[in-house]
Order: sequence, then structure tokens, then C-alpha cells
Amino acid sequence: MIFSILEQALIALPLIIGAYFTLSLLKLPDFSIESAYLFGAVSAFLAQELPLPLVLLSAMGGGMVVGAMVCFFNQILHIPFLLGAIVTNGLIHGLTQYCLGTSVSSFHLAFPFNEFNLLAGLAIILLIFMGFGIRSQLGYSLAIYGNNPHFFDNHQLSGRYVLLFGVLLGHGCAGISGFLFAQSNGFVDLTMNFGILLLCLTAIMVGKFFLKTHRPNILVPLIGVFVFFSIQQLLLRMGLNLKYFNAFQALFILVILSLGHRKQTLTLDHLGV
Amino acid sequence: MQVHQLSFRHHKRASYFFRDISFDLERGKMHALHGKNGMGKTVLLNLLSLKVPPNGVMEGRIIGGENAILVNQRFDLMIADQFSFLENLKFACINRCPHPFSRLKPPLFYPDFLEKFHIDISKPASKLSGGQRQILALLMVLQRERNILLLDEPTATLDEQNARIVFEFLKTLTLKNVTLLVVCHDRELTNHFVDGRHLHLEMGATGLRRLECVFHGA
Repeated sequence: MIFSILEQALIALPLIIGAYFTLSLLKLPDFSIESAYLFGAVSAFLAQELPLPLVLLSAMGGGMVVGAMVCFFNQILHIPFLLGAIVTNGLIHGLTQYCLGTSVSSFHLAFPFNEFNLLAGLAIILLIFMGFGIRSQLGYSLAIYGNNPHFFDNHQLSGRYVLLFGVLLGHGCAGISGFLFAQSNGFVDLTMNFGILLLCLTAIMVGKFFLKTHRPNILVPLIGVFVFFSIQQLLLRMGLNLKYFNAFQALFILVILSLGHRKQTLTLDHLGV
Repeated sequence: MQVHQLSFRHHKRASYFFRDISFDLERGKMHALHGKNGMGKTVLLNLLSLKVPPNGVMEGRIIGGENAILVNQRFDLMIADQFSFLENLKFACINRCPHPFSRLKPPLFYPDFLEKFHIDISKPASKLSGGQRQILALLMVLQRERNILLLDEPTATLDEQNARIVFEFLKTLTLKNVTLLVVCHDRELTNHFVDGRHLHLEMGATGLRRLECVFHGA
């Protein structure tokens, strides 16, 4: 059970870190993170003949392409972020169909080492880089943007740069998770991203429940993802059918938000994270 | 700051909005800019901070404009509410394109007289009074190493008590050699605190704005 929790948490960790950047720090209604997750897997699938580091970069690049698309719609075409994300999801759905040729494609890379070691190594590298980066000027800028997007214009700083950097980084991380998930399951599926946003919100809420801070902190996604999968495994052991798990997550979010609202322990924003 | 024969038109074919305006603002003093709504106070402040509106045509010379900064009337937009007073000051020192590997820098300008205004620097900005928040916004602007502040109705959204706190703060800034030009409709406040020029904007019969120096304080 512990191995299963660890494995799933390590697969999802880059995704939750990415979602923490866009949903929690930047406070963007980032529906397109689901597409970044999917397109990361698709990009890795297309690059599967290359060496592993390039496959990883390709997965990250795939996620970043989705981030660049949604930023282009929002910043250049001035489409509201949520609408831009919905449009992006539609486009990526078509692009995925085109790239895969079918809705499901088998995908499994042969590693010369244990797959779990790859997950653990990636997680450590990601935590070191992101943990340091999140305490930097740019990390704090993501949180400032979420708190007051007008701050940058009023101080002659580049808000567009902050948004772009945060979204690209967040989506790049989501792309890596997409690849890890596809690799672990042995296939890339057109619907593998359904419900991912709910997972992200739940894990970040759980993380914020343990670490009540508005300052950027890499421990929020880290704790969130491990506690989330521990709860999930516990519920599965107790007999909860996996097909009802999305509904359970939605209920969980509702309970946390309504309790926090009633006790006034949570300052709710439009995303609850 | 010295202004020589400043003229401005909103576009090439428009008639003059300002024509041949000249005045100077003595360093380390608080000056006031008066005028009814629509007289062009905000336009003048923008020009003094060298912000010419798109298609606008400016003539004349503004010496010291590069050291001037216009402080937004809506100071709430300048503050990250969830963070403390001190953190906000650090945020004002962030590079134009925030660096992913550099830490936040300590504030460049950190006055020693904050206790006088009962400011708890560890408190989130959202829990400060309106006056204290305005002081924070002003200090954040000063982190940019500008020594001329152009303030467009800095107390417009504040009650009498908070407005007075802000003016007392501004007065202490002049002791640090900061030059201020303040737009304020409260004559009582400006008469009490302004020790420099009182500039008055009026509209002539042709629509041309005239600037008069109606009083030169002590």
C-alpha cells in the first residue's frame, strides 16, 4: 500500500506543483492544465525513440506549448483566461487525435533501471529546483500576481513576463506528469486528462489545510499530493469503488469549502486554493 | 524641477490644451496644484512625469522629469494585500523582470519614523488603516529612487483623520529632501501643510488652460 501511495504521488507531484503555480499562486482559472498533462504525454509518445532526457524535455515542451497557446490567447488576443483555456482544450483535443491517429496508443519505454528510481530522482530534482525558485523574486511575483494583478503595471514591472513564466513552468511540469502517467500505465489515452483539474484542486486544498500560508511554499503541493493519495488508498481499501472517486473528490472540496466558510478559517477566492 | 514653456495638444490638429507654461518647484518642499475637475491637473502631472498620452504633442522643457514619479490615485492597486508592510516594501524593489534565482532584496528606503504613525510592519497590508496603506504605497514608490513625487489626490478616498496622517507623513518626506506636488481639494489641509508653491489651473475663454502661481508659502 505504501509503495502504491508513493508511486502515484511521485507521478502526480510535477502536476500538482504546476497546478500550485497556476491555480494557487497566480490564481488563474487554468482549465488548460488538463491539456498540458495530455499533450505532455503525447509529446513524449512522439519522441519515444529518443534518449530518456530528451523524452522528458519533449514532455515538458509539450506542456509548455499548451501554456504558450493559452498565454497567446490571453495576452495577445485579449481573450479572458478561462475562455482561452477552454478554446485551447478544444484545439489540443484535435491535435492529439491527429498526432496519435487513434484515441488510445500503447506506450512503454524500456529503462535500464528501476522505474521507481526515475520517479524518485525526478521528484528530488524538481523539488530542489522549484523549492529554490519559489522563494526567489519570481516565485514571490507569482503570488503577488495572484493577490493583485495590477501591482506590476503600477510599479512599472512586467506582469506579462510573470504570467508567461508561471504558466509555462506550471504547464511544463504538468506535461512531465502526463508522460509519467502514460509510461506507468503503458498507453496514451485521449481521455487520460479528464478529472485532473479536480485532483489538482483537492491536493492543493489538502496541502493548504496543513500549511496555512499565502507565501509560496513547495511543501504545499508536496504534502497535498502525498496526503491525497494516502486518503485515496485508504478509501479504496475500505471498499470505495474507483469509478466514484471523482464524485468523492468533488464532495470533499464542497465539504472543505463550506466548513472553512462557516468557521471563517478560509479566505475563499474564486478557486478556493 | 523646472518647467520651461510647456505646451501640450492632445493630437497634432487639436488646439492647445496648455501653452507656454513655466514654473519651478523648489527641492525638499511640498507644493500644491489646485483646479476644478476637468482643468487638466492629471494631464499636467502625467506630462511632468514625462508620460505623454498616445498621439499627444508636448513642447517645451521639463528639467527633473526623469526623477519624478506619478503616484496612482488608487493606491490599493499598488499593494499586495495578503503580505505584510515590510514584504510589500521588498516587493517594490523587485527587478523589472523578476529573477528566478535572486532572493527579495531589503528595502532601499526605510524611514526611521514609521513608529510615529503606529505602523506594525509585520501586519498584513489588508489590516492597515487607509492612511497607513497610503503611506505604504508612497514608500513603495520611493524604493525606485525618485525624489520628486507627483500625487494625484492622495487623500481622495480617506477620512479626515487618515488624510491628516498622510499629509503629516508627506511633510516628513520633505525633510528627507523629497519634492512633492500634491493635487488636493481640501484647502484647509494644503494651507496647513504646503510650504512651497500653490499652483492654480484655470480655463480661459478659448479653452486654453492657464496656470497661475497664486501663493508662495514660507
